[in-house]
Amino acid sequence: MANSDTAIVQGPRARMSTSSIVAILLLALMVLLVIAPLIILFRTSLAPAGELPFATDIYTLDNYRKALSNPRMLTLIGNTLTYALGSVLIGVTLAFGAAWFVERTDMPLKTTVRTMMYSWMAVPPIVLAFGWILLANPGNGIINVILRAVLGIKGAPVSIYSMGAMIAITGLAIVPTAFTMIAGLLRNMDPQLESAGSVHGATGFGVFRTVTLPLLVPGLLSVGILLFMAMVQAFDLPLVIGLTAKVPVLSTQIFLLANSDISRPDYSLTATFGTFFLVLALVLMLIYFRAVRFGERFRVVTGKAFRPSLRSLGPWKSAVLAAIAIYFTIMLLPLLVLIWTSFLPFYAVPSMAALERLTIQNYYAVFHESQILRAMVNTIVLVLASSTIVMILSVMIAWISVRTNTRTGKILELISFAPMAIPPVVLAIAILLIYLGSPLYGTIWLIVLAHVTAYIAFGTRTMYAAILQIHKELESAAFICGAGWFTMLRRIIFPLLLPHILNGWLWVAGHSARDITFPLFLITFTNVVVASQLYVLWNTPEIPTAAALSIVLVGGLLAFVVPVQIYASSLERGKVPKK
Amino acid sequence: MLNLKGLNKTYPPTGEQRRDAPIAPALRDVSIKIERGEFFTLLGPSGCGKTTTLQCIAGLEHPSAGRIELDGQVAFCSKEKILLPPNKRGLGMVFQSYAIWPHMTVYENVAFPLQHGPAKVPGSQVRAKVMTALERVKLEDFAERPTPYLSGGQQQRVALARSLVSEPSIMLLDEPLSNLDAKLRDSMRVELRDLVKSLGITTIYVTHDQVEALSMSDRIALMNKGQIEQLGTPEDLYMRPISAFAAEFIGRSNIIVGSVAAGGADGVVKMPFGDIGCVMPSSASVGDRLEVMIRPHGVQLNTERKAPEGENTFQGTITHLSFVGEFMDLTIALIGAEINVFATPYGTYEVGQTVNVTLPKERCVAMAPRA
Repeated sequence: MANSDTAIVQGPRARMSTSSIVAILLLALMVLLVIAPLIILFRTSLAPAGELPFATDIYTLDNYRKALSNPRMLTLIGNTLTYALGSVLIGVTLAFGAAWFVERTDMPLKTTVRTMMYSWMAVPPIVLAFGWILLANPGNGIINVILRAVLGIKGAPVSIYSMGAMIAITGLAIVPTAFTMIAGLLRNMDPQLESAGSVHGATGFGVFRTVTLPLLVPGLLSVGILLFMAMVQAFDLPLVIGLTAKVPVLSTQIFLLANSDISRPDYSLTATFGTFFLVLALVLMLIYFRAVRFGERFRVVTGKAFRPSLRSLGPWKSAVLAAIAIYFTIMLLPLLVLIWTSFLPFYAVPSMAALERLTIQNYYAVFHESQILRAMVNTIVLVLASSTIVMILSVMIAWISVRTNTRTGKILELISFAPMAIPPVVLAIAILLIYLGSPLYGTIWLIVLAHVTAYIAFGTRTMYAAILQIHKELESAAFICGAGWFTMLRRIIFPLLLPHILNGWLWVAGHSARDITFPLFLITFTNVVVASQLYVLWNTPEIPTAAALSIVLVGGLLAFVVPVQIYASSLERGKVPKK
Repeated sequence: MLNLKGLNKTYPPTGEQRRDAPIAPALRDVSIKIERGEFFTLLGPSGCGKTTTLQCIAGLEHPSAGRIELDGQVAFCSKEKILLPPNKRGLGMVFQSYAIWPHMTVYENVAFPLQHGPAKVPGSQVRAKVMTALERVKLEDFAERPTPYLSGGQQQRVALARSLVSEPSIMLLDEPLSNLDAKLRDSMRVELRDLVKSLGITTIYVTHDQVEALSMSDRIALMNKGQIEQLGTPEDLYMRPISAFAAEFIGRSNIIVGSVAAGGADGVVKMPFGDIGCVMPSSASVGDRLEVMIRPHGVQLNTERKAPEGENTFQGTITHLSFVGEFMDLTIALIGAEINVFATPYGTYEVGQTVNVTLPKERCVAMAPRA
């Protein structure tokens, strides 16, 4: 039996040879993508000031001394935490209100609200920031112009360039994400628990206070901590608004260190700040896991089907609708001002005079300037490549960690989840350090690699949950019928998971298109994408062209996200339960 | 045909168990030789190792030690380090959940082994072979149906057709009837056995249901705690169980403890209510504790009011009765023991009635007592 059909028994737990080989290859890839950059980052933080990691063999703690003795360190951490906490509080409160009305009352237009919330993910935060700057900058911001005219005052009544404004805008911007998570929580809560409360004599508000809220607290807490983690790591809004406002946070400080205008970038000090940032993120991650484990005790997701009991809004119906309409209007304002600006030869406050100057030359420029065209092509390559690679890797990694009981599977699961705790700025610096001299540097593929690393954690998490729902015998049957591992994946797992895969693919594609962290850190003349091109145009400043490109980006994303999302949900609805 | 030699399997400890806690092996020295065309059943309570044995044959699990030969081919051998993956073993298998792929039609499900199996069939022949398999299970009109719209019984037939379509020489069935309702189960038992027998397929059938095991099998391996407790024909297992476990797992039984008064073929066991004659194992010596088993059906009942006479006949009182329909379930108190007797439902009995019971010698089975 020494032919190719037989494999060597590696141990009693060894599974099929194909999947073991794939597992080892994936593990090697993940170590290269996730672990290697972190090692280089740490090494650089121990290098003498101004040295690159591969160019020195000296180890020193100077950078840490320098960073710790810096009096601004505390301010930085304080700013970062204030910003994250403030925006999460605003975001979660608004989202909880909206989700409550949509999921648990008889509010009309629910589908519209859900669709708007979902589509909002196609609007990059940097685009929102540009819109708000045009609306509320102290000079010619439209709101200030109007307030000055109406109230007859001088100066700037409102300013976008402050910590408060930055928090408010970020808070508004994370409502859609928080809404999706909280709506899920509310949908999965058995209304019988509340009915039991009212049957035993509690009043409407009493039930809410004594049953609903306590049951939801663990879930809300974990949503809050998750968003808090994301906001501590946030880079785009703090960059566009916070730098002018002179409220640096950790992520923007690292960017400034790595992209110093006045001197050679000090990579070793940058890496040291990155290490601090990484530690902070890891601590938050641990807190998150503790909170989630605590929340398990209150699990109210029973998995059985129930009809949601809807509270009647009565006379409050129109008030609720008005509140939701106001929210969407506020969210639309920055886009409207960008649309206005994109048709102007130079930026001007709306007026009859400006109306006569309307032009489409900015859109013409967007589609004819070679640098912008290159950015668009690069973006398409980036978005399609990174989302597809992430989903293919995620399905394989998730399958191996769910189904094989091996140590390789466990380690693979752990490493693929690690990027969740690595702030994008830190990962960007680490990737920059490792690939600076390589031929990959300056190509779009380096950004693809960075996005694959950054989004693999999301991909494997979602696929992990999805594969758990598939009865194992469906796979065993394919093996027994003679299918190999890849055939099984292609014929059984991929088709069964298609709706989940499409949703995950969309999420990665959307985030890959809107991200500016990696494109800015890794930017060269050749690998510009739309998001980084936007930032460049804005700072040139070519405001109308930037506005036109923003609108093209948002329009393109919407035209891409909405149909795929509709297709994915139709697939899901058409499917009969698997077991 | 199918040869299992000394299979042992230990699962790695799971997270909850203490590391140094002793781990009960899932399989202990399981050796079975199955003949070509035989209908062989692995029977036992849950956790006895029957499914693990089947999964080892299928290649979905691997033994820690041992050797598995399928049709003359070594599929697994821990000594020679041979491991044939499941997709190269060329088996047919019906899963407990049927494992019908919900995203494919009936036809696509059944065609899968022909398209991806080790012996790929040219595209032109696939249709004919799939339709033949579907005809065998009487589903030829359902070929284009999406599988989620089938009933449980139909899904089971699809699973059967899928496992038959590549004409395997060995078929594995993992509790295939356990998800069907009682009536369908009765008819499927006969149909299933007739089908695999007519095709001459060697079948390994896993079940915890004694009725299925007894009515369908040529031979049964009764398993307990990872070991084979008894291996034999259905009659062997029912009439001549070798242990209290075997006697109690299959059918109802009365087990009475006594001590040996005389050994050999004319053995006598001393019971609280008198001496019973019964065939003794050669190992039994006078004074040993011993258990005697007799089925409730095997006990003869005499309601005439007279003194007990004849071999193994004793007087007792009915203490409890319940009318089951097919028989009358009586509990009869003897001196120092109670026995269960199934009497004809047409007789008239009442609680407190004095009756004579006869335990015919050839129906009494002597067994070594439980530890």
